[in-house]
Amino acid sequence: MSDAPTTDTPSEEVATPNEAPQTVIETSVMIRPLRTIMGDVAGLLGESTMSLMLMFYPPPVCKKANIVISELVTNVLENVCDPDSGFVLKLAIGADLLAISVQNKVPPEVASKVLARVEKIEATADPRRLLAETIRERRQSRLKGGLGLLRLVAENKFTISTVYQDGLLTVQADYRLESLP
Amino acid sequence: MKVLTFGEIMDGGSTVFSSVTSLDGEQLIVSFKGVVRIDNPYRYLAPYLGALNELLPTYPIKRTSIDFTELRFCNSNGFYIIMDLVEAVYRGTIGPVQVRRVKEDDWQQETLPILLNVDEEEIASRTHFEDVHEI
Repeated sequence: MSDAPTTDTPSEEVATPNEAPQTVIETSVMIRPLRTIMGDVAGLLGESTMSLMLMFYPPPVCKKANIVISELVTNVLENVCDPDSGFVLKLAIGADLLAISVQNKVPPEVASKVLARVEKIEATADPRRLLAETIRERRQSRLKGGLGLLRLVAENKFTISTVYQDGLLTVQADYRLESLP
Repeated sequence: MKVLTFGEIMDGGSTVFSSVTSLDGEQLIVSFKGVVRIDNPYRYLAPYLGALNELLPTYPIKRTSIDFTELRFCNSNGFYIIMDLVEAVYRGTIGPVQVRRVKEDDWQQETLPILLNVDEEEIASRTHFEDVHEI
C-alpha cells in the first residue's frame, strides 16, 4: 500500500503572537461488512463530521467536507462489489489542507472505470463546463451516477486522486484552505 | 397566500426535504427546504412534479420567486429532480424569476445555475439571482 494516497497529516502551524494555532482534526471510520448497512450512513457521516468541524472551522469549509464524505461514501454504497467487504473513511484538516479519502475493495474493471473518470476530470481545463455538459447528457437518459466526483472538482474546488492496489481502490479529495475566498 | 401544491421526502418517519408552491396575488413563490440525499427522489416527488406541470399554466402568474436558501444539501442523485421542478416552473409561468440562494454555498453558487439552465438565453433573460448571507 506504499503508493496509496494517504490522508495527509496536516502540517503543524506555528502560532504567531496573539494568534491561536489552527485546530487539527484527524478521524478515521471503518465499517464492515457493507451488507449490514441499511440506513443513510453517508449522510450520517457527512453531517456528523460537519458538526464537529463547525466547532473550529468556518461553515464553507465544513460544508465541503460534508459533500465529499456524502458523495464518496454514497459511491461505495451504491456500487457494492463484495458485500462482505467494508470501507475506510479518513479525514484530516489542519493549517492548510482538508484531505478526505475513502477506500474500498473493487474488482479491476470497476477500478479502471473510476480511474478513467478521474483522469478525464483532471485533464479538463474547465471542470464546470464539463459538469454542465455531463449533467445535460446524462439527464437525457436519466443515468444514475457519474456526477459525484466531477462535482467535487467543479463545484467544491477539490483535486481528486486515485490509487488501485491489492484490490483496494482509494479515492482522495484535497482542498487547500488558502483557496477559500 | 394560497398554497397550490407541495412535495416532501420522508426518512424514518420525518420530513427531510419539502418544497411548497404558493400563490400571492400574481406572484408564484416556490420554496425548497431541508436535504436531498436519497437514491431516488422521484419516488417521493413525482406527484409534486406532475402537479406543477398541470397547475401552473392555469394561473395568471406574472412573476416568480424561487427560494433555495433553506435547502441545506443536495447530493448528485438529486440534481435531475431539481432540474425537472424548476423547468416546470419556468415552463408554466411568464415573467421574471427571482432566485434566492446562499452566497457561501458552493452548490447554490456553482451548480444551481447549471440546473436552472441559465446558459440558455431565454432562461437567463428571465432570471435574477439574489445572494443572501447564511445566518
